[in-house]
Amino acid sequence: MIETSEISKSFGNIKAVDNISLSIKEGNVFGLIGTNGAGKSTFMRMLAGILRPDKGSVLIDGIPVYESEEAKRKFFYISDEQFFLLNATPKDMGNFYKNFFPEFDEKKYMDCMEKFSLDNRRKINTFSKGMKKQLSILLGICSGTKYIFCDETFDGLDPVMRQGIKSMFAKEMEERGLTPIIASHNLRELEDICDHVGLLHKGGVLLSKDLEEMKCNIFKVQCVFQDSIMEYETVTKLDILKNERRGSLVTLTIRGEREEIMNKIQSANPVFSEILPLSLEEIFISETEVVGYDIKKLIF
Amino acid sequence: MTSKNSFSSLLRQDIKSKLWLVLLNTIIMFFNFTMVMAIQVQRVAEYMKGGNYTYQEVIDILTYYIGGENRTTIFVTLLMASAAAFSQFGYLHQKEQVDFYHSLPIRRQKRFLVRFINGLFIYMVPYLVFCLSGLAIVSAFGYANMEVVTAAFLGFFVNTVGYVLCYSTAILSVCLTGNLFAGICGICTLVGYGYLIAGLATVLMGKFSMSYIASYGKAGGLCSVLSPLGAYVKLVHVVQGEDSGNPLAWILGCMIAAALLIAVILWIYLKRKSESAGKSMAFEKSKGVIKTFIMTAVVVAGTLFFWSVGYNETIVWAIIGFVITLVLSHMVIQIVFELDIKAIKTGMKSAIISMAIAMLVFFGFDIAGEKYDNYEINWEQMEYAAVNLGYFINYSYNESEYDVETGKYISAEEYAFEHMKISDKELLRDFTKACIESQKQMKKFESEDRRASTYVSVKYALKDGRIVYRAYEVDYDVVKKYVLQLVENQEYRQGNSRVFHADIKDVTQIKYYDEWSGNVEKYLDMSTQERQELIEIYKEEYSNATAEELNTQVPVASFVLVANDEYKNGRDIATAVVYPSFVKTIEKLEEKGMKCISLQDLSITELKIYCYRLDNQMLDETLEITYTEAEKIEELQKHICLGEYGYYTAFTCDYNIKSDYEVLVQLDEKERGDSTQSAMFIKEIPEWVKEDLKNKQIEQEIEVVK
Repeated sequence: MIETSEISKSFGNIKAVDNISLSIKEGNVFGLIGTNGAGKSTFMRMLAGILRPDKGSVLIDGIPVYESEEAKRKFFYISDEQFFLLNATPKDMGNFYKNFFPEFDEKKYMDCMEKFSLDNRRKINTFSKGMKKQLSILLGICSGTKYIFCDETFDGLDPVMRQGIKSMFAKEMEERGLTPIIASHNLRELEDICDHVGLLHKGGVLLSKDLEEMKCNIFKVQCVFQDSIMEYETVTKLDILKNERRGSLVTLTIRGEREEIMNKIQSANPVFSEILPLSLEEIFISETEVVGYDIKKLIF
Repeated sequence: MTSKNSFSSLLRQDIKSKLWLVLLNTIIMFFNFTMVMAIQVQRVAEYMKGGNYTYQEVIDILTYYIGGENRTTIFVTLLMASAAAFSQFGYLHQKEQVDFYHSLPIRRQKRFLVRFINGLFIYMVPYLVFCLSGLAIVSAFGYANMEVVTAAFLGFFVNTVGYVLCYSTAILSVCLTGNLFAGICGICTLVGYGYLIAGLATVLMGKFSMSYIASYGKAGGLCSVLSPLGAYVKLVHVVQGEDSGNPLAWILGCMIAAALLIAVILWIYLKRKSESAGKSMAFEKSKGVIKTFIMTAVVVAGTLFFWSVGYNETIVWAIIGFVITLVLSHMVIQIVFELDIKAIKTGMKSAIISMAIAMLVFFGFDIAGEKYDNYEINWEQMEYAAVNLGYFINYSYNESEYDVETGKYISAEEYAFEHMKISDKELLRDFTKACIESQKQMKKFESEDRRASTYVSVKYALKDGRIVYRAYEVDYDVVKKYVLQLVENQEYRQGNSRVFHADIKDVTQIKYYDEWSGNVEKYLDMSTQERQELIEIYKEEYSNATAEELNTQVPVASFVLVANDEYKNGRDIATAVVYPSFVKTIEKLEEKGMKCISLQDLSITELKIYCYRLDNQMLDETLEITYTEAEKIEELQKHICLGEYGYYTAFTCDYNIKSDYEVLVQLDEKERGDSTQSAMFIKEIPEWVKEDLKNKQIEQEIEVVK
């Protein structure tokens, strides 16, 4: 498990990360989202032991990560600006990482390279941006680490590639319990990958929840009530996050158990009622609006 | 879990990505050693066959190229040290590289060690390989004796120590900065700062003290303590015996300095934050300190520059320079530090501190200069002293002559300081006190008005081994008072004449300049035995002459001792001045066909005096007086001397009189084929001549009015 305890980091007068405490469980895909400048990269760099927090601690499986070879051997970090050795080929990079990660699986690396049609002997500086990202992810997966930190790595990958990577992650998670931690400024990039999402804003965590939990606790219901009194009585009984009206059609975003919500609505004997599916975006909009943020301005 | 990142595999991995630098150094070292040795050994072998070089001379040349004193190797070392520092630690300036390397499971100490050691290998391995290949070539030609081999390995050792010093300094700069430009500026500052301080201290001492001798001053030596390059160059010179100092102490000192420097850079490396990449300066707190150091030196330098180039060197120019350099240096440093032009509004605190320190420096040197000028040694502690009376006593002796021992041209001052050992404390104390007092009076006048002054310099050797040097600008009369006493002293006399210390075995020829036939260079046809006899006779007569004779007689001849340099070229090593009382010497010279004629014995029919300056005033029009009366010519004849000889006697070579007056004489037909002899000097102007000149001046003015 990765635990951060009240970590803060400032650059001059700018507070990049402010008092963040998070726990990242093993075996999940943790998504970290936030706008540019929200502190995602700084947070990730502290997780990777590149930056030392001004305050607080980062523990990887109970070991402080900064300057710890043992802790750093547990993860593979992919920066938002990938770096490869001068004039190196994918093969050279594989050999390089072998020195640092004893579990590096060379055979798997070769197979992956072939599967993703990446030339093992071609110089990396001739690769496209997307190919470099693919290569970084493959190196990360094959290094055999328990965790993999991806900073904006998925942004810009084509859908086929994303799907390929996603299935590789799933396989690794299943086989050896890999825990990917993925930072992105785009919620849509994470929607189909993550199990748990943390939302960063202005250096702090707005929320951190399991996606399933969020999806099971927030519902969107469209209904038409018989009269306004019935509507008022029903609405006051529910934990309404958002209430929109178009004519007599009311769209409610409600927090709570599905059955309980529907029972309460049905008890008002509405003319029409229906539960609609909620996208991750909508969940986030609702959750963050509750705490006073307009997430549309933050994420989309 | 077993770690595979063993130290050796990390070294191998790191070096793989630095192959370009290895290749660059390989090429440079190949040319510096293998190629150069191949060319040189073939060249000197040919010369030796032709009889131009002896075996030892060949060895000396080869030793230079393969040993530590080779200037190119020093330059290459500095260059490679900077390149290696950037190659090994430049990643700290790039965010993506910092993220990459600092996220890897390797501790910083280990990473530092790997990179540092590889930086050494990159230099040392090609050096050793090509130095050995150079030795192999020398060996193939049969010159690889113990001396050459020792020089090669000693050179390798010394240059490696120098490399570690420069390499560590360059790494320090890389670690303190956050981008390439600032890193290069940092290296220039760290390497050049010591030289700048040494230069400034020298100039400031010269500015505020009249008695400071820059060439002997300790300020210049600061660079070997404050600059890694200075220390490296000094180390090379000391080990090669070209500079004073204990080689072992210098080697040890440089190694300790390098070790300390490595400890400092490791500490800074560990303290350096990863987020510093891309910024100008890695440590926020260091900005003020670094700026203060740089700004203070730059402001002092700028002030001195404006002060010296400004009209009349007035204090107004110094103030202008102070303000301009203060403002400019603050702006430039702030922009470099912050990479933002708006930053010039910040950093005022360090600018004010720099201004205050710079002002203190000037005030400090003003006070120190005064104390320095008035300093008198503890006479009880004095072992001996050397005095150089400069232009006053002997103009020609101030010209440099070849020194066989060092293979360099050395000035009369250097010669006197090396060979003169006067132990008469009473004489020296009186002389020193008179000089200090006279200099105090001189300070009251502007340099333009100090025409009646001359420079003298003194070296005091104390019993505790310390050496004190002073130069004094003093009134002629002060020197005149002590010249007789000094010349009377045999230690002074012999320490002032290079003939006394010339090794007769070195003297291959004796030559002279024939003043009577257009100053033509002629050689005396003498055997070694005859040369030896002449030198011995001269030394005896010179030693036995009274001070009165040496100071008042006008020389009748001079001859020059010639020795061969390492390339068999004849070099003048000593000039012997012959006075009329040196009867045996004159006899010996005349035997060999050299004319030793006293002007006092000539029959002069007409004597013209040209005057360019009268009563310390430069004349618009040259005054010319012609004397034909026998009595007047006879009187004047006592004071004139011929051409070059005019430089050789104490009272005849009053530098100002020489530049103010010129004399032409018309000789009797019987005396000379050419009736007129120019370039004569007059050692003293009788009062009646001055009166005549003044009257002539009045006449000319009346003419102009008319």
